[in-house]
Amino acid sequence: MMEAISPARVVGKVRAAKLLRNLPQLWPLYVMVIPALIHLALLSYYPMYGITIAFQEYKPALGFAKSPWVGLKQFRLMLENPTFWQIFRNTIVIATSKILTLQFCAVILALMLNEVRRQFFKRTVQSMVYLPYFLSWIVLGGIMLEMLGSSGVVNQLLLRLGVTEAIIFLGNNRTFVPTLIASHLWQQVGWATILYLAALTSIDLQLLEAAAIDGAGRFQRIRYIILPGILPTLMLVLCLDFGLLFNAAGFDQVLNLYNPAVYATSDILDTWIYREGLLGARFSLATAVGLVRSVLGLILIVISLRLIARFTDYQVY
Amino acid sequence: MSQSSLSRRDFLRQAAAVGGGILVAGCASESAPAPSPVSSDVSSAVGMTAEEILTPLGLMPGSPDHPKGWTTSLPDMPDDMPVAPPVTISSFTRTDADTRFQGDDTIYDNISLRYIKALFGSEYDIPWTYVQGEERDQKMNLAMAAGDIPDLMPGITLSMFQDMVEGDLVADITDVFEATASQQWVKDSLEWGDHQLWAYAEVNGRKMAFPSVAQAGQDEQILFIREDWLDKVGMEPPTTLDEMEAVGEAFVQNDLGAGPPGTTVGVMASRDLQSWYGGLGPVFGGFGVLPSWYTSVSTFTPDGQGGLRFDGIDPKMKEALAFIRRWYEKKIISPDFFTKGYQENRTEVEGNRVGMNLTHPWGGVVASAMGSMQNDPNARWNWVDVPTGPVRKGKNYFSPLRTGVFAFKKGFEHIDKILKQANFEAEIVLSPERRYHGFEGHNYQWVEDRVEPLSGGTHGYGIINTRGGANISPQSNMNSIQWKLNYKETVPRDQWDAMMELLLDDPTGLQTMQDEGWLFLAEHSLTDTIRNEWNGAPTELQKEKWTGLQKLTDETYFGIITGQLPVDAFDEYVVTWKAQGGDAILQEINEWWAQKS
Repeated sequence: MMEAISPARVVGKVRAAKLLRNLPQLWPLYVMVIPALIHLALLSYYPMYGITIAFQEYKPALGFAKSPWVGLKQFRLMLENPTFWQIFRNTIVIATSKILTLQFCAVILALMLNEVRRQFFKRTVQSMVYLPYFLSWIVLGGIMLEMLGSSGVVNQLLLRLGVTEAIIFLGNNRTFVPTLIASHLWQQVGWATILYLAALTSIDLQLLEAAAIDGAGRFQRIRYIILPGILPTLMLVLCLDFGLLFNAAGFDQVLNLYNPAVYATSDILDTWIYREGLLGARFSLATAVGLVRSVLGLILIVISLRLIARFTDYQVY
Repeated sequence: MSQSSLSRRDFLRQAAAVGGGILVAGCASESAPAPSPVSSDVSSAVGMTAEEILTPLGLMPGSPDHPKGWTTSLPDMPDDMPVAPPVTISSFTRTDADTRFQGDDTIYDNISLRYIKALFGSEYDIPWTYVQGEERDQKMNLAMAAGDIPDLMPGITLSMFQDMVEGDLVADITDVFEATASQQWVKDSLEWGDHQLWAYAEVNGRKMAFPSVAQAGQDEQILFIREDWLDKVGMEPPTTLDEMEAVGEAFVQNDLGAGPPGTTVGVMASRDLQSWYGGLGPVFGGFGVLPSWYTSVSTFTPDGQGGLRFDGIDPKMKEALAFIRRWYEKKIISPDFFTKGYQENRTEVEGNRVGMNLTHPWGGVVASAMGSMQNDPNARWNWVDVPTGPVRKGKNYFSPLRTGVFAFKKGFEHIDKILKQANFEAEIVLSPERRYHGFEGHNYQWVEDRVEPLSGGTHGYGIINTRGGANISPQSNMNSIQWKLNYKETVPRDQWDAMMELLLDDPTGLQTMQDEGWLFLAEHSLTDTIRNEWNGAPTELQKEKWTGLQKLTDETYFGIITGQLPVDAFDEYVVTWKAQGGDAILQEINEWWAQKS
């Protein structure tokens, strides 16, 4: 009777055999990977011993060795913090909103750019929408504060258009998050179209021509050919973003735009870690929160890779 | 006082005379240093006078050779100095927009460092620089984690200092201080206020750091106001908070600001409710309470029953917040003041959009009136005392005792050299008659027979490697002003030397305005101020809870002022504040207070 062998084991064995067989030809490639592995080990794995301070009452002056061990105290403090769940919720809300709006708008913009026939116009628009991506939030934050301030250009414009009261975009819990999302969109949307524009070039022109000959209009071609064509890319991007959800809230942006008047909606895990950890010098608590964030992030990445494998042909492992 | 219009030349003169010279810069918030490698030969200079050492190197302060010149009289050289070969001392330093140099000078190699190296044989090596205190603390923490702390650590925070003492990282300077520090210039100066300047630097009776000292009244506020705007609305300078409200309202309603329509700011307010520039401290103070100073653990004042109370949860605080909320509704303060700090607010004041600014004399003159008058020659500023509120006239008492101490690395061998340098420099700072006011070509230049300040050279080196020339005695600035006024009265104008012309020639009245402001503050510092009585080191509980409590407080206060929360949200805040650790902290602080009393 034959022993049942799982498909995964078969694949594993085949891969190992392939590797050995190809080694004489491919060893230079493997050698070239070594620096990257060293980089990974030194900068990603070696510093991980620092997470020990999540279980200590760490003081830089005492160092890792002498700082007292406190078990899970930091995690308890984190959960006991009355605003922790509010901060957690803000992080998820801001991150999810940003991901969804950005990808939605990027697809629309890519489709619009794809329909533009005049290359000069198309390139000019592309350059203009890419530009904000290259500015850091330190710079953009200053620009936004200036533009959106009570005496800034946006409010001056609104006043001339008949709005009676200046809108305090960044000082009101109702308007802060929408402003955050809109400004994130403004900075990122151009850059985010690149992937979709690339995906659009892979759509078979013959299909489009055939559809046109069959009488499909522009919107029908988009709906039945182009959108299905870029769907795998969209799914891939969404899943990857989902995996990095805890990064997606955007520390740089929030830190440069928020203020105490909008803590209730703007305070996210990263800004909390910054205030408590770096400003309040509570490194252990900050590390504990960071560790929780990383573990959750790891779980999300695993889930997202599964989702990617399911929705697209792309498989990481 | 009256001011005529301001030419660029006059403006520059004032800028250096008012801002550069004394270098105490009102903002007391940071200290910062200088030093680095230089290349002068000091091998055989022991036994020479300071003048003999400096003159051939072109490093003598003042302009002794100029016909109208000025001679700086330097003290006797410390024993066995300059050290040969020079010793290297590592120390970080602050750099910001006010740190400017002439010629090829840099933060790492400049006139101050060359002067220090030539005189004392101390070569300062700067491993890193910082702009704000937060950045310094982060870099210090990294340095500690990496086991690479500098020899001299200027202005480090109290809790970091405590941790370093606990970790056995700082030197005990008791013996070297006793043996080396000058009795007259250093030891006696630091005995100001019955030894209280040592409150943080001494641990269990041992001197573990050099104290940090501010000027008397340094960050205290007076009300700077646009006189020309008052004339336009036909009103008098306010003496009460209600009058201040009326004036502010009139400024706003008449839209006197130079910005786009509707952007006039009646009263400057800052995202730091209590701060030295545009802080609303004196408005709260009118109700007998004060919010925290930036994010520090304050303000704890006597509760009338022998204990201390936290002002932040007092019922009067609720009234103060409701009062400021009304100002916000009336647009007397900027609709988005909570996004603005010193730099943004200074831009608004200098852009002539602001009618009133609660700040101290340096902030009101150098960081307000000068720029404002440069942009609009018709702008006229003056100051009055802070207005009286329903309860009292009150503003923050700024203790000359600063929390940032100057610690030395354990095992560092050249503490005595730094203290000898401190003796020498303290004598200069405390002796205005020695006429130290910087270097030709760096702090000022000659234009025909007049002295014109240079925008560079505002980087002083202080007593022990700090920015700010007077970190030795709370009285030194006042002494300098008194000496200067005395000189002005007693020496005929045609006998003034170049330095005195630079300091006393005051066509705009701004220098006098600043001097009078300083003297006024020093005189009233103990009567019209609210004093935070808690100055102990933060406990573990406070370190654990304070950031969270501060967030709760900020969120509530700004919510109430901006109308996002009802005024009664204050009551709920008080309950939450107490429950979230505030009560426990208050109890600790009261135990400390009982022990102290």
